[in-house]
Amino acid sequence: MPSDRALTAVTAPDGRTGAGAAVDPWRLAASILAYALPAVFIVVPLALFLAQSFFYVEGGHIIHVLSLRNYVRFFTASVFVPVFVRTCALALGVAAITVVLGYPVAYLLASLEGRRKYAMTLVFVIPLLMSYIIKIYAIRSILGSNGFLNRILLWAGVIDHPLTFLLFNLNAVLLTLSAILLPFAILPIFVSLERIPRNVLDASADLGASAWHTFRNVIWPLSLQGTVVGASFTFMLALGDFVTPQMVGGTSGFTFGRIIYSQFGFAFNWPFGAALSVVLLVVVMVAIVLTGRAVRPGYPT
Amino acid sequence: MTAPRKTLVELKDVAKAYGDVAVLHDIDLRLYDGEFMTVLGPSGSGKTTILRLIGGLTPPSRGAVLLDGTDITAMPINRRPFNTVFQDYALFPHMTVAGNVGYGLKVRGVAKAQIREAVAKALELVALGELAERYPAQLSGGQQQRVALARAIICNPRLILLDEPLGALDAELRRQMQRFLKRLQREIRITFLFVTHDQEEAVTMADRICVMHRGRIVQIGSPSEVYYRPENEYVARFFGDNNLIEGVASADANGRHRIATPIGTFVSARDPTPGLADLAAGGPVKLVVRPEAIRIGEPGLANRLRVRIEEVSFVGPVSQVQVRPLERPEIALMVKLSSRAGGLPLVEGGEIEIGWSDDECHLIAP
Amino acid sequence: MIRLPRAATAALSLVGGFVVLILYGPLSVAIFFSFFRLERNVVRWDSFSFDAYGALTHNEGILDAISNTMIVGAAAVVLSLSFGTLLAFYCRAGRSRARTALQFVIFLPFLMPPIITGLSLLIFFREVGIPRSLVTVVIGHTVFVLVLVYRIVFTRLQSLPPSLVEASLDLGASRWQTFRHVLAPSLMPALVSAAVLAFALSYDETLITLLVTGTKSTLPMRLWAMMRLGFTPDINALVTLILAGTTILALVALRLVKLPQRH
Repeated sequence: MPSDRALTAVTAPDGRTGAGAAVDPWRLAASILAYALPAVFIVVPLALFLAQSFFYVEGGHIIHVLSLRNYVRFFTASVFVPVFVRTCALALGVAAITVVLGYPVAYLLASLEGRRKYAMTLVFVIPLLMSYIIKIYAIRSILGSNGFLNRILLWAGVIDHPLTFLLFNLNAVLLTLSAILLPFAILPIFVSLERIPRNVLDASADLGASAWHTFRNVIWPLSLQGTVVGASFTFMLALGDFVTPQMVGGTSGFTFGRIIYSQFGFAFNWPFGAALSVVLLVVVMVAIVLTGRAVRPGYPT
Repeated sequence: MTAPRKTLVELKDVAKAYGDVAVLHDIDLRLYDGEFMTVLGPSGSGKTTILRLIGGLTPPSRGAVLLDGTDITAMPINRRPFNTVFQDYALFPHMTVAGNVGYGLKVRGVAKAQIREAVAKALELVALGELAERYPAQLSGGQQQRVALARAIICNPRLILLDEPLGALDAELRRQMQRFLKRLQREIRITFLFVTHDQEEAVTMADRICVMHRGRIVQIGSPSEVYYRPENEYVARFFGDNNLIEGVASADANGRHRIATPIGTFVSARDPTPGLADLAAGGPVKLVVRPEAIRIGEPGLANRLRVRIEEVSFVGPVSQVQVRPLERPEIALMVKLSSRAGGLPLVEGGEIEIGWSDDECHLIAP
Repeated sequence: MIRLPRAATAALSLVGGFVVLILYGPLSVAIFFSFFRLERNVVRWDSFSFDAYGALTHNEGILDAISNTMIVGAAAVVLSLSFGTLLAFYCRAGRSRARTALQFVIFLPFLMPPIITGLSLLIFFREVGIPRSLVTVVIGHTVFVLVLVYRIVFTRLQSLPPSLVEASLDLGASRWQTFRHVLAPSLMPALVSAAVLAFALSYDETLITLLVTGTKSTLPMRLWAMMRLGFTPDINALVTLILAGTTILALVALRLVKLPQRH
């Protein structure tokens, strides 16, 4: 209790310790601001967005009347649900790839010490802050039939004709997103590995467990939550991405994100786009809840 | 010495609760100008809360805080002319020792030159003159503590509040600091309110001790008063071992007091605790007599008793003898005697007569 | 630190090497080709030049985009720092359900897919009547990085013993003086690292920006447009410069974020 009290004295002295004024104007202003700005710029937009999904478009205008037709259209029209399912599968694929590759990397980092650990962690984390579009562009210029990869393979004589299945389809989207989102998987796994108390590992070794047994019985269960967090994070980012598919997806690599985006562009059906986004959001929230349940309580978070 | 003491700070009918949890009940406390008072009690007794109430860090739920007779309950911390030495010293880590000590003057707008002078004096007072340009992280615990002290003294407050400041120091350093604080207080003549859970510390330093238990003040008095004249069982047992014998009071012809107990009737020539129910009418009371006041085999004592020796333990300068009255062996009493090389001439299992004078025991509430 | 037998370390290092290839390979290629030219499947090693970079400085669109990115980044940093600090102090001052809810709300834009954050802001701006422009981009970025600044400042505040504030007040300082002399200096490292991190995130923010931007563009927007229109020789040069810039920024940011913990 005393810990909060002191800062209360600075930021929000109550009437008894205050200068006698019943309500301190600064404190009031601060409280109002603290709630007002997030309310206005986060809660209200979300509410409007939700509301918008229940409106509809007729004759080029948005009709502000509540209706479920957007959702009905999503489920009944033949094109949307399959694309959605395909996109979910794609996102799951991205999550799987990033975790399968990311876990060993995180493990490797966790086994390093001191400066080396710090330096190597930087190596894998810096790409997070490198330009997103440039990464896509770079990958695209490598994967294309005229791209770097093909030229090398041709020059090395491994193939006779350039590989065309690498670009402008869903494969490309899968590969590109995996490459871009890898660090997002590595980081949470690494953090959860680091959180395992050292003495637990020592105890396991002391009791005679080999490195493999220690991994299987101690490290893996304790790092499970971090892994799940990493997977769900990449899943979520992959699901809603609409730039990558546009740049490397071509016509066959049409994802749900692109459909949503086009509603706000050419298709000019904002309410429908909002409805589609709500569907996306629901899936994301379900994923978060499921992953939260899948991890048993009691383990260090 | 006979001049009436002036009350500096008073807590009147103060209570404090955090939500549903009551931490202080019915506190009435007077702090005299220039005295060194210790507030003593185990954790949870409310002693730190009293300090925070006076300092203004927490408002009371009920009651008033008075300074020189004026109600300052609503006065904020930074206006009260008191300074606190915190348990964790609370030195500003990004300022030098000089910066820390001079802070109180700086925020008052005192001129830099004057601050420098005052800081130098304050640091000299706590014997830290050469460390003025160091940072708190570079100092030892004891040094940090003295910086905190200098910081509190420099503003010449009416009262310095010390919140268990010696807790983090090792035993030897603690004793040194206790003596140092006592001397310092005498020298600068500022009132000190010192909170601790260590009875030895309290007894060493204080002019008066305020003993707290579960949010109430159970006794206030000088160290010897509190030690030799506990007013209730809690205080009696708080300072070392004590003997308490239950019985019923009755009057005595010579203005003394008698207590009839299962193991005999005893007499006390001292005043009983004030506020005891009508003694002549025979209310229940307890007799308190210190183990070191009991003598063995000495004739002419007002109170005597035959006992069997149960155990003799050597505890350094003192030897403890646990005895049981012949008539009521379920009661245990303790006697403390100076040890002797070669042991005391006492045999476990043997019978002896113990006694104490009527001057060295008194009656308290049951 | 996890102990590993040699064989395991070797195997893991292989995976690690492969991942490094994935992460840095494409970019290295782009950088390489900003200096060299390719003619008929053969690298012309003698074509090393800075011509492409020179062409950049004349490209008005790029320079505009860069300055816009800087402006947006600076504005987002200032806003998120001020507001994030306010929130950190407010939430630190007590516990309540309202405060917990508040913390969740500011976490939302970071937690949800960027497309949702962007779309909700887009709809909001439209309904309220705010035209899309750099201002809306700034708002979008601020809302996105806010929780990061808040967390960094809040964590730093938490690590300050409350007795420091009490001591300052006890010595007679006003609340403002306490903030100025005691709290602010302690918060400074956290604020700096939060600022750098926020700027780095804003610099590269693409998805939200795409949705709420007006006619003026930031660097990612410009790149996006360039990617769709086709290749120009200076793209690779631009790419290299941006990478250099973000790498430096990233290194600085990560160094600063780690630093408070070391002490």
